[in-house]
Amino acid sequence: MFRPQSFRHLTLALVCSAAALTAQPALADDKSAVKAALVYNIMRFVKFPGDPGQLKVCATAADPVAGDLRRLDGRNVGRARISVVTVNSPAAIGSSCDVVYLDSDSPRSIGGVSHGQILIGGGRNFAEAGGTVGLINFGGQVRFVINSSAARRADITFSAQLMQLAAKVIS
Amino acid sequence: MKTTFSASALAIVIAAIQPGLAQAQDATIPPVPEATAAAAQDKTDSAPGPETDSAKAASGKGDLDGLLDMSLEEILAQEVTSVAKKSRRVGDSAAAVTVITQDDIRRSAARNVPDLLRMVPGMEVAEVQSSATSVSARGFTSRFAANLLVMIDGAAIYSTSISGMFWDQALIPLQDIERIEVIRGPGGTLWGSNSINGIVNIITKQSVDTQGLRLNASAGTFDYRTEASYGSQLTDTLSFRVYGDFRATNGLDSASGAVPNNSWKGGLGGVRFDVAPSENDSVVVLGEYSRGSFQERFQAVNLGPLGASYVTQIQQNRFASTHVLARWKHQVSTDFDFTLQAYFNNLFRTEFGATIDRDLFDLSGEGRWKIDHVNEINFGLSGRISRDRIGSTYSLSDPSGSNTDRWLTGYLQDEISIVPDKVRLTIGSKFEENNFTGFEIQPSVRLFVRTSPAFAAWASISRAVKTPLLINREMQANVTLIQNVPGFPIPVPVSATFNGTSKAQSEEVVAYEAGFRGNLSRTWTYDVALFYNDYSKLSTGDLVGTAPLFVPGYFLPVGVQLNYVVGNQGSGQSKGMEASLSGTLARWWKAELSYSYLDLTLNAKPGSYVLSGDGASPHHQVRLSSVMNLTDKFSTDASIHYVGEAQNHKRAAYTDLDIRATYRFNSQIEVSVVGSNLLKDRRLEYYQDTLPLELVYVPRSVFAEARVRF
Repeated sequence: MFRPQSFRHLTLALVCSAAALTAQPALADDKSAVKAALVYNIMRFVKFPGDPGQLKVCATAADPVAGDLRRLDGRNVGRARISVVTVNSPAAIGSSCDVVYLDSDSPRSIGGVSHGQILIGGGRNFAEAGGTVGLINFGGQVRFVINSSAARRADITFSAQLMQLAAKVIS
Repeated sequence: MKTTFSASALAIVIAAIQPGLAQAQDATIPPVPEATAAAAQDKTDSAPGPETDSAKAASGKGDLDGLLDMSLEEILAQEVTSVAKKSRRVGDSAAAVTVITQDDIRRSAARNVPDLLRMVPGMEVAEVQSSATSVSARGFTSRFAANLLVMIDGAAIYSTSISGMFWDQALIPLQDIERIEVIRGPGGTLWGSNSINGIVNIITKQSVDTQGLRLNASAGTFDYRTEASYGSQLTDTLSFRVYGDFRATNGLDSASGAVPNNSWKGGLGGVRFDVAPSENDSVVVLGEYSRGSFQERFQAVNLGPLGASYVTQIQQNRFASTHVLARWKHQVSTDFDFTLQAYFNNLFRTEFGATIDRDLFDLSGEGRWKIDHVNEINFGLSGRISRDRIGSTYSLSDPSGSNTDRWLTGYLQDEISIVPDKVRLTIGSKFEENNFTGFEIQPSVRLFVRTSPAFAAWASISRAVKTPLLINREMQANVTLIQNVPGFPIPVPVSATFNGTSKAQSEEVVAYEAGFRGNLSRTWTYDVALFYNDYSKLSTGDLVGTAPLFVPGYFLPVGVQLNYVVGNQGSGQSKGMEASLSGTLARWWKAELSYSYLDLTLNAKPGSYVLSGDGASPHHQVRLSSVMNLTDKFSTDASIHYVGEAQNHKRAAYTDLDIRATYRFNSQIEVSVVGSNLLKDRRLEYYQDTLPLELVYVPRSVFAEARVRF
């Protein structure tokens, strides 16, 4: 028969065991995978002008997220197929890119947002500096900030659902 | 929903029934998230974009491929240090789980949380008074329904005095709710008691997700409401939100139309801080204060020369609540994390002239430990003290004036992966020691089997208890109604006195559940849950004596006095099902159809009746909802809801229609026109004949709403 006393002992043993585990090493950082997945999901809620059949995603080869972004190549967003292009420097990113990802560079490094283009970045205050979407870190999670003015200037339309999920909307 | 729980009962439930390890979607609520995030995907992917192959997703993956199968809401919930873990989905749960997402909330016609719960298959929601709503699952709808465990941000707000939940005091701003997780059936291996028929877990948004100013205002024929919040991220590791809301209504109708002196109003203000000192730590500190007032049209019995009659007395009532909570979650490794939480809640309320003033202190710790590839342990321990002070009146009194209850609760369960991602067995139990019913044990066994990416089935057996409310244990209630009595030529006053007793025991249920779910195609899914519950020791009113009713000034008896003592002479069985089918008719059009059936039979020994057995639960409920994104700026949402008759046809069946039309001017401003209960002038949702209160009807209403975000 189960008695409260035995339960208490068992619980105590578990708590002690748990405490012993606190010395384990820290966890690996999978932030780049999360960021790449966010880029992909944000694209799903964006209406690009002209409804292109292909969406070109550009990043610098040295970008820590570039490796995960390359894995988006060949996936579909709606009827559009994603192609991922990596270049050597932000300056080499052209206006033909539909989506530009800059993990640490500022929007000014590519001369701003072109028509029909969304500029996503992971740097501090990226959206405030003119980017279309800024990814921000908070603890172990990643959020995003939308610059609706930048999107409007580029003729980009975000879905209402995406706007609702944004941590912040800048106009 | 419970008396003895701590932080995340529901979280553990879902964790118990899912494969692999749960990581907090909301860093504040441990294991639930992944399951709910999955549900979020199921319910919210109606926006432009490719349809998600939920069957594939449901199998669960790690790394980027797994992430790409998730919805945006789900990804945002991911701890970046734990994406290697398997994703958790409602599709992989061994229980009847439904999640109400932000999008569901935003697009509904709901005015409050109970309205939102109407969209969950099988939930029974009925307006009983302007200040009282009955919310139940799988039976036992009544004004004092107490079979659901309700938690807000990990804190159980279940009341143990006269009712399980004062829903009108759940003043959470709807715009701040991230999701609501609902489990129908016993809560699995979780904290404590009183989740006997289900759990409702309301999770609000982290403050980092609500930056800037957000306003929501609505006004219409039935009520007006405002919600406001301002949030900011002060540093990379600190954010805050100040928030509040206010609602007011003239109240529900009578059978012929609006009635005076039936109003309700209330408001809440709060502040929440989220701190993330590292990627493995999250801290939440929040404080809230709410208050309000309401009127009740109490029916007092008046004796005159022509006999007894009712005289309406307007009772002015008020309520208030203070809530303070702090929680720390630490992830030690991908295999081990724990949460510590403490909260204090004061609840004040006047009801039937009496006052209830309760202080609640709760301290808990819980953890999850994935021992190896086969076993994952969830465990927790909680201490809880509740001190009730009752200001007595004739209707409601407590001879002792105050009462203090203490609980020590724990749970322990092992989730055993028999065949990875395909067959899982979860075994565990809740344990509780309290100062009024002693030791309670609530074991459960759950089996989950996935035979293919498109089909899964589950089954469970659990034992759960509901500990007696204070009113059953030591309080006294007096109710006087005018009724026909043999021997009297005309209706006469019948005064019933109910005395609680220290011998009151816990109600018990052994629940047998099973279900299956899957995909009919890439865009259509179904979910079916079946249950059979065997209840025993249900609380009853046991008649212990009758006597002529004498009142001062009358030499002869004017009626009958009935004396009851609370017992546990009831038993019962319920069987039923909940089924839903959802999918997309077009890229811009999503639809969902749900049906629920309930057959509840209650028995009591001669001279006794089951206190919660009003027969107010409908046998059949059907709901059809439509979500249409007509253009980028314009959307319409509609739902038709059929609720079968109840209470021997005293509460008739009804079908009603809600419609919302929304226009978005830009990313910051949207306006909506909402019609609610459109098919009839008004409807009765609950036939009230056991308390001296007038029947109230929910009227047709229309309101306009504006939402602004800067």
